[in-house]
Amino acid sequence: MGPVEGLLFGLKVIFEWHNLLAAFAGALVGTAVGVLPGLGPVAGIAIILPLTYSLSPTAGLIMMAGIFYGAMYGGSTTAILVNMPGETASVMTCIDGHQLTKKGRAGAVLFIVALGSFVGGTLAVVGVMLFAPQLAKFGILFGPAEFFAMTAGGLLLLTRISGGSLAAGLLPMALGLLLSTVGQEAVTAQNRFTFGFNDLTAGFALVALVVGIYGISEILAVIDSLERQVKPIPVKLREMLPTRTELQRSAAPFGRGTVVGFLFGLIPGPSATLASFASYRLEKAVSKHRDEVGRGAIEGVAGPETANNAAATSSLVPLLALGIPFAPITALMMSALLVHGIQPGPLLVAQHPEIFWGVIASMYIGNVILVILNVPLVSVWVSMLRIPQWIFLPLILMVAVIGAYSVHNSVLDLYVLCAMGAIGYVLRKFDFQLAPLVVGVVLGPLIEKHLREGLIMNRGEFSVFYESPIALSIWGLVVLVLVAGFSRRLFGRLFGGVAREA
Amino acid sequence: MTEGSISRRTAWLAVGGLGLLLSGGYLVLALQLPFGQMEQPGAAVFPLVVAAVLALASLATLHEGWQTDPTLRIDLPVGGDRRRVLAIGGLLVGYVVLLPWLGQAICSLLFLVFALRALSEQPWPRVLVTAAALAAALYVLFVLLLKVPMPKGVLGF
Repeated sequence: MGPVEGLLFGLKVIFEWHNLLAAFAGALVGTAVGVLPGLGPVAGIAIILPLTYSLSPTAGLIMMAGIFYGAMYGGSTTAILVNMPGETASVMTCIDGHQLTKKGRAGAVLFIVALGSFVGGTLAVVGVMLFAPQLAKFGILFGPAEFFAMTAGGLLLLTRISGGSLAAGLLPMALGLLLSTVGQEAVTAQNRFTFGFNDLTAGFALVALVVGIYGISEILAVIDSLERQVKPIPVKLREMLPTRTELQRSAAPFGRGTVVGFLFGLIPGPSATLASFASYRLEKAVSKHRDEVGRGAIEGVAGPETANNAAATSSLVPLLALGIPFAPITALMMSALLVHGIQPGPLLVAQHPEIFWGVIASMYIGNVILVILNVPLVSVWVSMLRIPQWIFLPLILMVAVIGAYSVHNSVLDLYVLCAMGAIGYVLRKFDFQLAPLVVGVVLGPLIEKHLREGLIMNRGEFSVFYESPIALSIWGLVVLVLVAGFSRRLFGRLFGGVAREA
Repeated sequence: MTEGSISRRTAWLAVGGLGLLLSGGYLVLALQLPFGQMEQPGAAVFPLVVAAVLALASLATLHEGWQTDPTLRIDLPVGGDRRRVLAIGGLLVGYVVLLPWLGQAICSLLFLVFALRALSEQPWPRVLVTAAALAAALYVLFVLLLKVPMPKGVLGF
């Protein structure tokens, strides 16, 4: 099936009423998750995850993708109106977005953001549509050595690209790998580190772990600065029309943001966050009005917001084409597919075209839904910020607890949730990265599987892992990026100050 | 030094030290698993690699902690903020401990009453009414509509 045929097939899938409803629900929940501080897209998707188990795999994945890019839209609203990013990919939007709000241009900026997100998201889908099937065809050539290089190398890259120092990524990654070894291992069905708890035979529940690490710790972090929260500025629909100049000045950043975002989405790490940082830097360097960037220039909002949506979309490529999640959100998506007995990987496009093309087509429709939801209804989203936090935060905690319990109906999962919440809170406070921990938990079993399969198939010869030209190229690339990463000056110039992915 | 902060160096040295201890304990347990042979690797192989990676990561944390400027501080919540974080954390643990005995409905109500009160200065009657409404909404949505089999507890709901 070629890209055009595939897209037409995908559109047929998405226009089935339950898939369309899933896309709408995902966009709606995602925008709410993005708008509301205290609940990032990772925690939002993790809480929703058990609900998606009752849907078809296609509808479940469509809903999760909708939450992901919906959160990118919604996150900018709080960044612009109250100078508080709803999620970390909107951190850069605060700088110029809030300056423009102070100048009375909040409505117009929100419109530009919605338009940029639509452009970035939609054009990135074209890239995904053309690129992912080709990558999947290439992925069929992969054996254990190549997959080992992709998973282990990708995880190593993630620790360096997530931001912060070497140890800030490496320690959480090692902790994630350690947690992934708890339970029955796949090759010889040996129980490991279960300490007699039968509930641990299947390993730690990913939902409890992710909701704890991201959700509970994030809510505790909001609670510990509750007194410093501010009220949003009201926005009326008639104030939302940008001027011709604002639209003209946004056109080039839309294009640059799309390219930057698409490319960043393909690499391991908090791609949406990195893309918005890189795009901001790019606008500051090349924009015609670069002197104004940082003091309330529309380019400083249009570029990063376009980039983070494009990156959110293209970050699905490694998952859909190779079955490798390089970020916590795609890791959750993979676990949703595995629950339904579907192994994501190069064969997904051939064996489950309804999932592959259905998700891609849903992103076109989802972006249209998001523009409809975000532009005329912006005042509704703004009013959500007025929900008192003393009501909202305990309610979210209860939903998180019930969501974590509902996966296995196990109280042990709730203890895991509490423990991970505490660990996540401490790691946040001490500036460690959370993404490598979650991705480590998900990639750990895959790394072990490919390592052991490679050794078994090659009679214990370790050389198999670096003799294949593809594996060798992947390792070469990993080493190159790691070495470049150690050059602090170069790395700091590009990504300095990148915060943890929410 | 300011009240409500911790030296970044101390924090990282503590985390690195804990990581090193964890890797040691994990290594001891991993060594009790079957190693197999290189052509037929057993269940111990990957955990041994993980133990080594964790030990290295902990050493890197200790090294970076040691290199950190001793004047750098990490802000910790103080006063009301600290009380709120501890109260919500404690209430969450209490919820999980009591859930099998009291059931979802009672536990949620108790949690919400005390959490709403901990996060606000609202009068008790308003807190009680709000908590009851939220607990009822959670029960209807998750237990009655979505059929999540939450523990019923001694009161049977």
